[in-house]
Amino acid sequence: MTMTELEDRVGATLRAKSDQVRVPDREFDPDAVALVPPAPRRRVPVLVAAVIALLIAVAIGVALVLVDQRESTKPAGEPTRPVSQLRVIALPSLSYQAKEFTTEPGLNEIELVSAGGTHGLTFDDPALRDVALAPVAEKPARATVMLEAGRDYTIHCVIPGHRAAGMEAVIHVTDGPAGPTKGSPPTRDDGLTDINTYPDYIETTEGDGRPAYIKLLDYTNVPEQPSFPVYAEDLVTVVGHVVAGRGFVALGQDTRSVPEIVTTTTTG
Amino acid sequence: VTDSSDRVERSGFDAVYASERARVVRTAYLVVGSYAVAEELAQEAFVRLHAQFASVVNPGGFLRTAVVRLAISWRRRDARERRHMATADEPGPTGEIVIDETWDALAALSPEQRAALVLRFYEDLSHEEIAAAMGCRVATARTRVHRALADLRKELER
Repeated sequence: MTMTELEDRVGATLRAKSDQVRVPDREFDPDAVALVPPAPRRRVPVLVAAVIALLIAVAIGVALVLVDQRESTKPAGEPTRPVSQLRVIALPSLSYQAKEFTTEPGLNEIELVSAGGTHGLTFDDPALRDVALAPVAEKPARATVMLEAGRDYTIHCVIPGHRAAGMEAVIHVTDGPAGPTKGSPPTRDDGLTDINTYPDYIETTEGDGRPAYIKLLDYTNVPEQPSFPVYAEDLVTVVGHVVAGRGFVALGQDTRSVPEIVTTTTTG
Repeated sequence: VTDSSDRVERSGFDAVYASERARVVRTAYLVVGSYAVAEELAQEAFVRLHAQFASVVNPGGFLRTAVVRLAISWRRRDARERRHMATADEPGPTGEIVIDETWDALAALSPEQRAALVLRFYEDLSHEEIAAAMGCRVATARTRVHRALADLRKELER
């Protein structure tokens, strides 16, 4: 087979396959979040990991000092994984996607994604001034910070001039609860969902059979994709369990009161 | 309440959505090989366009770049996870399982190689345009197309 014949064959195959695809008309819904898997997380180089670990340690240390003595009565085994995730999108129009964000107190994983242009994120708070996020191209940057209950933190872009142009926002920290929200994703009649109503952790029947949750950012509805569940016992507050055939059952709820899941298979 | 400039922007986006959606879904399908995933990737590409529509000069190019990169990311992750799983062929978009040597051989290529071939021989793009869509240098785009064809031929002559 000559190169030209091969090229023709590739073109013909692709066109034939493309012609088989029927794309039904559909209205655009900006709130319909496509549940595509997030880009794979790259392994963090050791040095960067060490610096991040140090920043987290400093953030925890500072927060513990500021929080007050009663915090020290908490059990030593308190989890240090983030309880909330906050996704900040830097827009090319020199603003973040919102002027105000709300999150829960405790360790927060802040993720900064640039939707175009070079941007950054840092805090006004002197204790968090060392936190500086700078995404490279489409790769998001993340940092974990300890945010105190009831406080407002101002964030802004580190690029000169961007703050003056409006690239700043306030993170409001609620008074609690300190735990992550957990539960089943809400579904609408059309099968699509609004990501703003999602809990931080979504229950799953995957994993080794123990009650488990998937972190929102790891969640995907592509059936053949395995995910990386967090086990319920590792979470701060357990709000329920996944029961085979019935799905999520809240703590204290009678399992028999939850209707069985009817599975239907559709094709095409 | 929307002001008039909002309405103009919105109708501009709707026009792009109506005219580009089928093409974007098809391109995604040719790279990932799954219609369900292709639709999701296309939706994500349009959500990204919608978020910054006012500042995008070339919506068609933006969508192509977004969907090709999403498709490559998806296939990379998919490939990693499939190593641990038994896989089944997804039926073609018309519902039946079709045996097509060339299509199967395309599935064996790396995500970047397959995307390069789709952009070159389906979208009929130049190497410069492929480089722009894939975020690589022109020489890299040329090499990807060339190596993809060479690997494809090896796969077909097995």
